[in-house]
Amino acid sequence: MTAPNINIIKDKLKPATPGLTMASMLLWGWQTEFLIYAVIMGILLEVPFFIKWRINFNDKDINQLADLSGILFFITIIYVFVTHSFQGIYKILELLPFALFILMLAQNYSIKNSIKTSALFISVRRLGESAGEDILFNTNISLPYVFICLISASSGNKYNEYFFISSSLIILWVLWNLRAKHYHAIYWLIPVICAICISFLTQQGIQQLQDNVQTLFLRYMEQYGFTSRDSNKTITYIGALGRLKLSDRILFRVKPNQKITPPLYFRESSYSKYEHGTWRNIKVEFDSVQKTPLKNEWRLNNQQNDTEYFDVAISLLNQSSIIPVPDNVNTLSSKDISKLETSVYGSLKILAREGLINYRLGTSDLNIVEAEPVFDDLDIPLNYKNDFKHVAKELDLYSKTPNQIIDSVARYFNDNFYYSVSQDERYPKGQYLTKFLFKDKKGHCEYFATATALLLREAGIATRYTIGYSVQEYSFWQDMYLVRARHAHSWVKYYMNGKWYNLDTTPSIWAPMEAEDRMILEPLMDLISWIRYKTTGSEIDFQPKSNNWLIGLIISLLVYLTWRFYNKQRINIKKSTQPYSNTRINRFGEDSPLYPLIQQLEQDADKRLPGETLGKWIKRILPKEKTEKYLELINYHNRYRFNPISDKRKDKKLIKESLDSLI
Amino acid sequence: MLRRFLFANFKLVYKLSQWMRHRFTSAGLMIVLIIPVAGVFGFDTRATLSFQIFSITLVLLITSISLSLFFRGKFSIERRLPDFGTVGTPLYYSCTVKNKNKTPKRGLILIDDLNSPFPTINEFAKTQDPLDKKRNRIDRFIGYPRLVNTIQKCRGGSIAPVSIDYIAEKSNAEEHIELIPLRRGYLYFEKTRLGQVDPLGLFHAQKIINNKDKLLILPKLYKTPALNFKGKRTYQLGGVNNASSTGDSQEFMSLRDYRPGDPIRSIHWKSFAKTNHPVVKEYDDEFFVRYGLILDTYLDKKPEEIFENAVSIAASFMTAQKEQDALLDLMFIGNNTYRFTSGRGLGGNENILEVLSCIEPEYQSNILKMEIMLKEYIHECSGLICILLNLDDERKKLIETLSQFNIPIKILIITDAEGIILDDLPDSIEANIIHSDSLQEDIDRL
Repeated sequence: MTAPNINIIKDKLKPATPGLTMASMLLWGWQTEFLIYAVIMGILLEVPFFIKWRINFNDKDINQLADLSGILFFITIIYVFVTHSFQGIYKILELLPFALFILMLAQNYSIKNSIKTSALFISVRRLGESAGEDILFNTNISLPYVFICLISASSGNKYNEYFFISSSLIILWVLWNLRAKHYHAIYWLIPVICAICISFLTQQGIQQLQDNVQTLFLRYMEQYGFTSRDSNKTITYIGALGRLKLSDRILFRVKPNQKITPPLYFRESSYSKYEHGTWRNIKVEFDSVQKTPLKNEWRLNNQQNDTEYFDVAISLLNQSSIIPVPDNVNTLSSKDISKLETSVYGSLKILAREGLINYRLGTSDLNIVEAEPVFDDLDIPLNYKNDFKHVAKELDLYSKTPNQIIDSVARYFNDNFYYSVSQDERYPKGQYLTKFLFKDKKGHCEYFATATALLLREAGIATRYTIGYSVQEYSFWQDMYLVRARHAHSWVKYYMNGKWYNLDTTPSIWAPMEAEDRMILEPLMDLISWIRYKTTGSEIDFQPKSNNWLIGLIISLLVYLTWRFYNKQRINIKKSTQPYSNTRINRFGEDSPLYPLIQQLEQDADKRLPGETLGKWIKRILPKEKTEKYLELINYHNRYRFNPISDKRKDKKLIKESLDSLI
Repeated sequence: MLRRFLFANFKLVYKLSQWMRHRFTSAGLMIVLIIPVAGVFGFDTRATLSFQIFSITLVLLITSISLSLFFRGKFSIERRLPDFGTVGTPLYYSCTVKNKNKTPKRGLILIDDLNSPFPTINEFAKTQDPLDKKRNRIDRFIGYPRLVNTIQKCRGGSIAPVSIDYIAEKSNAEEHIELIPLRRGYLYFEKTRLGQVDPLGLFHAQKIINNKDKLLILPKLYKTPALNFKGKRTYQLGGVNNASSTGDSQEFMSLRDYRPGDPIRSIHWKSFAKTNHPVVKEYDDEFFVRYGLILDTYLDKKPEEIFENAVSIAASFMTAQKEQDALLDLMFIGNNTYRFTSGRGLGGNENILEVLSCIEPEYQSNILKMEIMLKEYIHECSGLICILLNLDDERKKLIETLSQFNIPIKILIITDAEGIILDDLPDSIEANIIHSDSLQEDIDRL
């Protein structure tokens, strides 16, 4: 072992005093509801203070136990991450005392009452005894374990004030044993009391600070999060100059339970009356929907079962928001939502906490019930009346059936108009749609939806202008649909045969065209958004997934590791029973060229007797006249083999020469 | 680019870690580790109560550091070092701490500091660390553990801190400090720290006293056999003219006329009386054995351990021959050509060992220079020992050249690997391989 590389002050970490580990374990058990386990574990760890029985663990045993703890902890991490995703980090924290318990037991019941750092760190273990004393040393891990229990207990997140008091008392207990003994106790007590008082204020300050920062952050993020539309009115960009550019930020994520054919329309609100670039409703009333008893579920169409469902994750900036849903939404379930209301226009308003929430939308064959058409659903602004009359005549809509009207209108916009996000020419007020219909014949979705709605009204079909999002961008690596701000869309609902139907006359090129303007940093922003999505919010509270496969995997892994461990041991035992089979001690002169000759003679003549010298043996097996040269050879061999000051190379050469002459 | 960036941060990280290790107690270090852990988990105050542990531990640590500011006092420290030490062998020296205050002091800790210069990036790039083989890839790539070992080597020793329980007012305390030298050469003492733990037991208050000094650490020595050169044990003309002590040898040769400067005791009074002018006795040089010891310094890319072993073996030979009535020349190539002679009243072992303590390996081939030097001096030698770090073509050529001078030559090749073949060396040369891992055993066989 080499010397330590620096002059560190070698005061070893003292072990925990009797009762300290128990106290910290009780706090952990109390906070995390593992109280029974905590009591049993605490007792097991405290018993060595009162009995003398110990086990003589060697370093290898401790290393193996540390490895076992590590493997169990690793499996726990995988299991928790699979079942709880990133939110499981606090669950892992709760389970930490379990993971280190085996190691603590081994330490407390060992004769040394400490473990080497090589048991904890593989890198130190690899260095072996050549590691310096500053990294390879014996230490008692009971005090770190006490602190691990405290931090684990904190993840229980209960009894706020009591936790502060109890954890302070345990920390003071630790410090009392570590204090500098050459000071009077009063010099320890006064600063400690002051420190605890200040830390109480500090922890309250930290809480307050986080609240303030979070509020500030939410305000800042308002421009990046999801803000629901006003169900009473929506101001369009019709007539606005310049290029319409919507952001690339991800507003929400949709994960269907089965394959869908995009685009899928998730609507927010519908509007009846159009005036000067703004669509309006008369004051919209929302009615509360009753929650299904004992479930976090709201049923919108009674007696209907879900045919498919969509998991939606959305970051809300307000507690009360209108959420995007498909027309045929049947049920809504989420533990993040506390209240659900619906309007006569089919909008769903929820009351939920701010931030990232998840909900599941079940759909059926029936659409959500919307109010029947009213007068406003057939109203055309006076300034556009003649324009639409002109177009209707041109298309001969007055003489067609409703289905033919729908077909004609759709074909009309499809054949004669094209999509554009920029408007370069200022339009006279009140003539925005006139120019769109007769001059430019280009515009974005609001132009198309508004013009379609008003044209159908002219033909006698009640319509509503609808806004929402087009779900169409699938992310393979996130395995879900991403809905960005630029996917905001508007289309028309028309009323026929007692039902509302969707009609989207905007050329389908609109989405790729808007995607062309995406930012270079979009992938990076997506990644950040994904990390935020994964690390905040909560899991959707649905039927627990079956993890049988995972449990099976873990059991198989454990069986394999145990087998490996046992197999390794067996090989070691085998090896150890034959200590010299694989070890070769190199003795000087063993490479003497004489040995092959000796072997040959032993085969041809007689074997050497135990303790018989080479000379005697040669004299015994060979006739006298032949022995002389052999004895000379043996003489060289002995000199080569045993004389420490002879010239080895020369001796070897002489042996070879003598052998050659003999042969 | 990345390496430069990493290296630029190493200094900061190293200084910080040194400061932390010097200043915090084990309990303090534990608290320092807990603070970020509790901080990370307590970041979201709604998720865990870890922020409470964070605030308690942080405030306690700040309190502890604040209390350390109350450590006051006047002290002086006097260090008494031995003349030299040996690599790997613990040595003890004493420090006298004088408490100049009017109050007694308790619970002091004395830490003596060796100077440890931070290497430049080029120096660091050249360094080798045998432990690197055992490290994982990340550690090897980042190189921080190697840097720490390099600094440790530059520092040259490890000094254990000493606790001083009590010093009465206006009095002294003498403490014996253990130093384990890790390398040969001079160790430079820079400052001494006198610390005291704060009442909470987490942080050391420290007073730094500049206290410069240096200590020579000699290479490790091995037991070496006597130099037995077969068949060529003849006397050769010695180099008394090289002797450091004045005076002549005792072999009378002739009488001659007095020359100014001749010692009075050399006057041959009888002849003076006869001739009436001063006549002095003239003495002849003695003939004695003179051995050459050549140390190969060209390390190339071999591990430094080999060079250290070579220096140790050279030092062992130089010191072992002192009983013999012979001169021993140490020759090596460094920045220049060096030749030091010891024995028979010439430069003592101490001087030679000092030279060997400070010798550094060369990374550019100097075998040719060595050959030139040997050709110049070899005629004065009765025998030659060559300590080589490898047996490549250059060195084989050197051995070939030396074999032509018809004097006994012993070649020692220091290696850490198998596979060096000696068969193609000239027969007149006695060559031996010394393995790094069985140094003493191999030397015993010589």
